Amino acid sequence: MIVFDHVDKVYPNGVKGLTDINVTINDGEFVCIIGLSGAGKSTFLRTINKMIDIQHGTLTVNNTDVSKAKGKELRELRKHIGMIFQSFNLVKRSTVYQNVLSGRVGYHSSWESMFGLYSKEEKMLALRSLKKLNILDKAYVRADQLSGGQQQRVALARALTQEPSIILADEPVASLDPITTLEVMDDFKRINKEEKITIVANMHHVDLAKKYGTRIIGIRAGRVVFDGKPEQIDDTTLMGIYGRTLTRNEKLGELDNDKSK
Amino acid sequence: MTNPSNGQTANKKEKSSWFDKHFHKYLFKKIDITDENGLVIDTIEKPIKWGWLWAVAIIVIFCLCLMIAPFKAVQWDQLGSIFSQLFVPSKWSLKDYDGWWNYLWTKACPAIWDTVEMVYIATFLGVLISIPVYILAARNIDRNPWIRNIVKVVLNIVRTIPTYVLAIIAAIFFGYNETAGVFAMILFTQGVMFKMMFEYVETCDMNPFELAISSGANRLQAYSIGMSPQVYPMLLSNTLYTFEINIRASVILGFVGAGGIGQMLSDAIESTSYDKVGAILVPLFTVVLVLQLVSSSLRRKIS
Amino acid sequence: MEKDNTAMEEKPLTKREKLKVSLGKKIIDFSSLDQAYSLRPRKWIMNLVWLAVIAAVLLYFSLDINFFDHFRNPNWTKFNLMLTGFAHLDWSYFFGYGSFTFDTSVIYQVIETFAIAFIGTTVASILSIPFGFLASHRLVGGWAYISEVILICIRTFPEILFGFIMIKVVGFGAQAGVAVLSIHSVGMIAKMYSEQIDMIEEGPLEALDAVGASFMVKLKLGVVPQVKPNFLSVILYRFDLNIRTASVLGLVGAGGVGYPIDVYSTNEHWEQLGAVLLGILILVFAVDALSTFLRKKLIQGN
Repeated sequence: MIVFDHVDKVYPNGVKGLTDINVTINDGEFVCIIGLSGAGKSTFLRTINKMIDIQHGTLTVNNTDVSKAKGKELRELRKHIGMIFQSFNLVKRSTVYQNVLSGRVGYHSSWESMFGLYSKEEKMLALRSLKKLNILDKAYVRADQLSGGQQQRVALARALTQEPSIILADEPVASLDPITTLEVMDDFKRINKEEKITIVANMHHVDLAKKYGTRIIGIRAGRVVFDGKPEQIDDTTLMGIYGRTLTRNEKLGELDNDKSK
Repeated sequence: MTNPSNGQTANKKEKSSWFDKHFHKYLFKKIDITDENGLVIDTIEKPIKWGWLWAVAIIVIFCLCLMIAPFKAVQWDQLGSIFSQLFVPSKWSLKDYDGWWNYLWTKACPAIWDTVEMVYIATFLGVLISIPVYILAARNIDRNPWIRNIVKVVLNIVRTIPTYVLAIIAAIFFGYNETAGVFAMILFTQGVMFKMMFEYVETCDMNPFELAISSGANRLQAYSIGMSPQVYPMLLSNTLYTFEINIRASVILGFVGAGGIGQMLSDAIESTSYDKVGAILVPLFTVVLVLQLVSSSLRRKIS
Repeated sequence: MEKDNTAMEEKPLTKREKLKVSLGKKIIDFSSLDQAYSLRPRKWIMNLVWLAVIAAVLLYFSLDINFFDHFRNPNWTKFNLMLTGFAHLDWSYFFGYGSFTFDTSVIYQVIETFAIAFIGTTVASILSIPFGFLASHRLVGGWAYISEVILICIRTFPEILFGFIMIKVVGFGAQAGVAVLSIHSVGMIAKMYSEQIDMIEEGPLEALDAVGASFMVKLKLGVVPQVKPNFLSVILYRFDLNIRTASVLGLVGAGGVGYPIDVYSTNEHWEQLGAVLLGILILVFAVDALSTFLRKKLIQGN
């Protein structure tokens, strides 16, 4: 469970990244965060696993106070939170298998991970994650030989191998073409339902957020301006989030055929 | 604590250096652009060409240097005598071609092998030790500027000291033998590897590193999982290059007394037995050439 | 990469196919997790083998040159004497007063070393121009191989030996050093020149061709501007190196700081040795800083 309580993020030069965030995310939700670029979506996401510090308020993740966590406690916290990036962030020269297995790194000491000493269960877990994402056949292929969608699936498999309770996704489909986007989002949805993992994802495309999220949070200029169900999104609320009507970029388009507005 | 995304923006420094800021008015000249009526419509800054000044300065320095080291007459006959000695056995201490051949195989070649062994040990041990050093100094791995700067300064000092100086100091400690030479080369290797590697690590893709940290790895784990595979080919390539450099350095070290083929060479020169010099040069040349060929083709394959 | 379409049946894989799957060169639909697991590449075996070989060679070599023997009795007394000597540097020697004249002071010798390197590099950079052009495949085609061979021979010849010969030829002192550097540096500078020439872009040259420029004009307007910054960078780099080589040459008596180092270290005059070392350190540091600064200015466009 993630609880934001009057959270502020202030940069050293005084600029406020986040202002007075009060949000509670329960286990099992699929939260999609929308808003303009630079509105604070990434900042919001990264405060959850302390990739970015907060200055005021309390942020509690899985019963741990994030701002007080350091060293071992922080690593323990992060070990149960998976993260997906827009640029996949895989190790290009390593194989898919090695990339996925490296998700277990938080469970080992430095020496063990340097020499690749993972247990058989962990290796089977890695292979199982690959199978869940239908990419087991590519297990021993070098990561940079896969397409974008496949690489993101590998990243997802890697996150799964961490046995996380939460997965954070920062614009996970922004680099993908529309068809692959839907495939990857379907994978996210499946993982959310089957593994019962909370998913918090940023995205550009509003219709994508509406289709997949169980809850939508709209962020504008560092503040939460919308927090509710996808059905509640209409032109007025969108105006509140974006400050203008949507451009073509913000609609995926392919989804228009399933009776949106 | 770890703040990778903030760190990226905070590290962007201003491009203009101290020099540019203070000497700006000497580097640029303002030129007004006028239209046909003579009215100024725009102003641009044109860089002043200081190139000519540099050329003049160089010539002046050159002349000053000539005062310190004026040209002297060349004694061509000496040159001739040396080269003839290389090929004519009459003045040889080794008496004849057979003796020369014998010397080549029984003395010179083992000496070269000794040198290769020395360089092998020094290069591998040196590279091994340099790995944690350059990791510590890379800006993107080690957030603490104090450690980084200390490491950089220490290594700059080590790099600046000429190898033979290191060898002499080592020889005082260990005695005039190969161990001193290896020691000196290990230190020298630190300097060489450090400069090449730490700049490279700073330019590496940080993404996998960030990913590892976000999943709970400490920095050491994140480095070995995320950055090592990227750095590895460069490491190998530079090791080969260092091996080459060390072979050349070992000749000089030998002169100072730290063993290897250089020592043999210096003995031969001092006793003016140019035949021996010739015999030593043959394996030396061969090894260096072969090494260069092998090294450059391997390095091409790696990148 | 081949796709094995019959993977749905339990067709047993040959050893060769198994190897290909492990290496990622062949993709099959794994019928079960266990199969995938069994085919995983065991990289650690290869790594261990490499490590063992390197370590074994290391050990053998160390024993062969009696590496470890000399660790047993390091000469602490001498070392401490040396360190105390370094703590009390002979400043009269450094600056050239007292029992030393300016001509024999460290400062003068440092300047002399600088001068040797400067003259040597300048002469070499001019001499290298024809050689560099002759060694560039772009400009002369196949004939370049001859020049390359000559250059390689010049480069590989150990400088010290060269220095020794030059001392016989031009006499003891700085001139020998200059002679050695001038010729030896050509080896590297000319090679870098030729590499730069080979790397230039065709575009500007074609444009000049289109307006009917002669060979010399093409050279001046097309080639020179493109290679100039890199040439200068090469020369600076070589100058840096030559300062060190100049001091090495001094060891055999070709002038500059090398000779005093040799003399004082053999005679164990540590105070003087320390003074010379300080001089060299300052020199190399200064030249290093200067050349880095100049290099940065070159990149920005002088």
